[in-house]
Amino acid sequence: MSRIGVFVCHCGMNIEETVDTRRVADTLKLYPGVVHAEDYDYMCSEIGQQKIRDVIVEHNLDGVVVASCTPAMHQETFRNAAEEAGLNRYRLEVANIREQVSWVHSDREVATQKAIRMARAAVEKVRGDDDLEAIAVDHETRCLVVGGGISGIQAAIDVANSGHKVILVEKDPSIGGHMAQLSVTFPTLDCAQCILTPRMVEASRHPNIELLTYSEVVKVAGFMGNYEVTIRKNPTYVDADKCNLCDKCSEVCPVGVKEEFNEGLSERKAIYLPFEQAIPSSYVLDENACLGVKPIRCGLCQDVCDVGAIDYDMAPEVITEKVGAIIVATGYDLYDPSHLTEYGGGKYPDVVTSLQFERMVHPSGPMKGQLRRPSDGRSVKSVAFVHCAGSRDPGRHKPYCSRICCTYTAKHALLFKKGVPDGVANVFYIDIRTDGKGYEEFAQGIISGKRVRYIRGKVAKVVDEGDHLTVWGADTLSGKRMEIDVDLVVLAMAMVPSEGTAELAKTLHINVDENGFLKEAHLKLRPVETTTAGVFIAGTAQGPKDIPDSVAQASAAAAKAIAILSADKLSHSPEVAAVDEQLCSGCGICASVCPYDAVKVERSGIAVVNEILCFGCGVCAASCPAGAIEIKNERHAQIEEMIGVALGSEK
Amino acid sequence: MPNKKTLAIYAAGGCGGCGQSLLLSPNLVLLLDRVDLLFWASSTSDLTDEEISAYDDRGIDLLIYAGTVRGNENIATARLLRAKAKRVVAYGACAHLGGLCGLANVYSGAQLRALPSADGEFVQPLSSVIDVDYILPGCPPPQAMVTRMMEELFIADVMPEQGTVFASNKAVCAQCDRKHVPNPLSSVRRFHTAPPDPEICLIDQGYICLGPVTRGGCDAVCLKSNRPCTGCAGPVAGVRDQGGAILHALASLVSFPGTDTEKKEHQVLDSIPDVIGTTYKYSAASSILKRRVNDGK
Amino acid sequence: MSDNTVFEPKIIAFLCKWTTYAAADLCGVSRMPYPSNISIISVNCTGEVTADMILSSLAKGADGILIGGCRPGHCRYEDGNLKGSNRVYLLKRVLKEFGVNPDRIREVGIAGAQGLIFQQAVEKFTADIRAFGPCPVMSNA
Repeated sequence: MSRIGVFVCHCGMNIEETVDTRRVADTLKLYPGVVHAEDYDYMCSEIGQQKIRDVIVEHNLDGVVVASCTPAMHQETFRNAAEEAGLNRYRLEVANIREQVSWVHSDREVATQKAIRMARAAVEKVRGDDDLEAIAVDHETRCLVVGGGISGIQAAIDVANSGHKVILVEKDPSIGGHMAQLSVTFPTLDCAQCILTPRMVEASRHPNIELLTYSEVVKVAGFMGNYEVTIRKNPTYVDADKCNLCDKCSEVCPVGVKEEFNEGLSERKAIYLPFEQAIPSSYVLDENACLGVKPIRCGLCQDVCDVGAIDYDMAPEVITEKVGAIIVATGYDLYDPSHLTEYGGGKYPDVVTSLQFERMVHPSGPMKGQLRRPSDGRSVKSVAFVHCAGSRDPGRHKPYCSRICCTYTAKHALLFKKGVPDGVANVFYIDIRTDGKGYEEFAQGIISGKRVRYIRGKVAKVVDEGDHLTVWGADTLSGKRMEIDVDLVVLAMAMVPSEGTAELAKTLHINVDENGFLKEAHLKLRPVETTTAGVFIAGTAQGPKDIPDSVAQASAAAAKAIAILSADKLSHSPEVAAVDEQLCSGCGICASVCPYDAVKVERSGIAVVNEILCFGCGVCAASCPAGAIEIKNERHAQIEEMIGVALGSEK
Repeated sequence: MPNKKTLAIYAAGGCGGCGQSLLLSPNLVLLLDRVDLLFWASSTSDLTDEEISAYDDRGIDLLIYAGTVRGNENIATARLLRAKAKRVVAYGACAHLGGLCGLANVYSGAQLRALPSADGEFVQPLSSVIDVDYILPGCPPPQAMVTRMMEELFIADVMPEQGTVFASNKAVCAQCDRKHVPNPLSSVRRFHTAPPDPEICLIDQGYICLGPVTRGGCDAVCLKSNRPCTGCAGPVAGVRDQGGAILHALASLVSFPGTDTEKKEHQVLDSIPDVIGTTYKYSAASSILKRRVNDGK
Repeated sequence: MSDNTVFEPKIIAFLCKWTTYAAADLCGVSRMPYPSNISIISVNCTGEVTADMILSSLAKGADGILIGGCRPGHCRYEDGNLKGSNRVYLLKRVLKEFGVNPDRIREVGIAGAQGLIFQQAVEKFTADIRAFGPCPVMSNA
């Protein structure tokens, strides 16, 4: 006969407001097998947990039900408490009466009845639970970092410094990410390359870091501690060890395409150096731009290369690596400006994005720091900066705030005035959100300095008049409409997840949120973890943020990864499949459907489960026609009882 | 010599195959020597309810009931026989599960009543109308099982436990010698198109075989004759709904991973021509759904 | 059931804990209400749902069954959701032949972040089942 204890949590007023928890406890007390039932304010508190421990001992319980918030919140907390009192931790079940009852229903009677049914269903589940012991598993000690921007680099260095080896995969030909494109960074106005390149070099030289650029992750199999990753190394057609950066190949190349590093403001050749501080420090042949490599259509670059670095026979290489943890730091892109048709984004050459502006003011950029209009090359004397281009617009574009634009636009305005002291800078803003350390002081200096004109109002339209642009806006503080003529418009474009994020998330079995950013396990308390154990996220791939936050998340993700990589053994959940040898006839259907090859029919004619490979997905249990294989503690008989109780068919 | 046990055999609606399975048994003569056969309706005689009523309550030691329960007449007779018997054996698939006749349950009462000879009522397994002590599955019960029943009921000193099924608790696969060549089910093959390889598991070859869900103890005779198991002995111990059990096994085997749509899977599943007739061939009347309902459609 | 009682559908939902169950939790966190007719049972994967669970639910009085999991191609166990879906596809043929309205079983693919979609799915399904009326299977059982 079961001896089950039921604890119904008020969660302050969160549950109590809608569910009569006292009545739930009183009703459960009468339920078969329940020997104790009580309700309390906060079951997750120390007092609440002590109640569980005390009652287990006093009443010699063999099962516990806590009716409270969703299991994802506190099931582990409660199971720890139960274990401390001597009850096997797998004999505790949580009934979700908060997220799935009190917070979504309003009728007290209905909600209370439902809470009673859900609590009873949990009692039925725990009634059928057995003692289980976690399984100790060996694991890999290397880490995979996907993405070689500032976040990926930081994470790689942190993990490498802990003594664990890292494979850093970057899809572009060089690491560095968008930070390498920036001119100076706010609020310190540090030169971006100066603070970034030492990290890039450290990552490339670190004895524990293997750098795989121009490479992509194509498949991930396995589980936390034992991932098997398939990586495709795309051919650069240039031997990086031989290339001496002489530039002869680029000079003779007949093909010109838009240069990515300069955001399309300049051209590069098909064979090119990504940027001066590129790491690996080598030219790269873009086979999509090239006239043809297989068969050779041109061959001029190979002809002029003195050191024989160019090899048209390079082929993609597919490798498989075993790692224990994965950190995803794949960064952001800017929202495509051509979505902002009213601003002429993507259409008017003199309407540029913030990243394009970074390249324009950069002393080594396509304009050598001389601000010129992309259309006719005339000097820029007046500029309009537009905040929130694509952000904070739930109706038509992105609903969220991209966080960094207010501060970098103030920076842009400052840089403009430095370069063109007699120039006119107009900033069209809705709010000024400069919340980082030092940002408010930095921005206020520019805003109140009166050298830059800050206009509170959205821009309605930009018209290209040929030799200038006209910006239609409004000054909401004075109530006046405005039409300003400028030479250049800079759009603070919304940040979006980088191209390929959605596919990569699928490959890694992690989720993306409603805006396509990688989804964290818990927004407040677990910002760098995902719901897939062993896979962590960092940087702008998780959501718009600045460099300090990106670096902080990278180190946080690294810490999480290190915890796995340095564990003695990992613990594998025992909620795995088990075979009833009395019923198994060796038909083999379970073996055919298992996605992990975790169950096989042995020569004895009975199916046998390899518990370490099994993840308890239950497909075998659902496919077995004889019901001979079931998931421990989630057996069909338990579910059958839960169904009956949930439907209230047993009053 | 102890008093002979009294035996009565009653055949309700059906094909007569169960009666033949008894007649074919090499042990029949031995059996008849050990029992006092009160009546064998309808193989040797016919019997009215009045004549059955004449027996004492619990006066018949063992009653073998073969055939369907359909209609009030069957129900009444079954209840009457139950009252007159100490132990009742549900003999054969019709009594055990409703049998092939149970497939009629997918038609509505109106459709059935429109048939000239039909009673117009739904088929039920015997255990739905009376308590059943023993079950001998099969359509007809294979000789291996018949022999086992005879040994346990008539030769052994102690009566077997109530609820005994004279078949294996495990599926037919345990007795089938075919080899496995694990294969996702990429197309369903029909027996009339090509005979299967006699050495390899039929499901692995794409043929539908109910072996994995069906009680063994029959020595897998059908499989050994290069025919599939059609499920006549009913589901293995612990499985309530035979059709549901095999259909979820088959459905799980159809898999074309890597595609984002289910078109290919649906094509394969659609190629099973008669899902009920295949998966619930003998057990429609004892499935969870039991019989047709009127649900608006 | 007297003529005065309004039919309140009983719906059982088998939700994959990684996706649709999380979406249901998100609904709760965001305080987005939905009809209380639905009782949720968490499963590791919709591939765990058997024909028996569905048929049993109907026999025990469920008027509708909602199965919520990953969208095709997103199952963390490779293709568990697909296998579950295949079973439902075949089972619907069985239901049809037994006269049961197969639309009483609905499959949804809802990601963990899609709380609003979950709310809408539950509202729609509850309304649809209400329109179908009580499922006659239980009275048959």
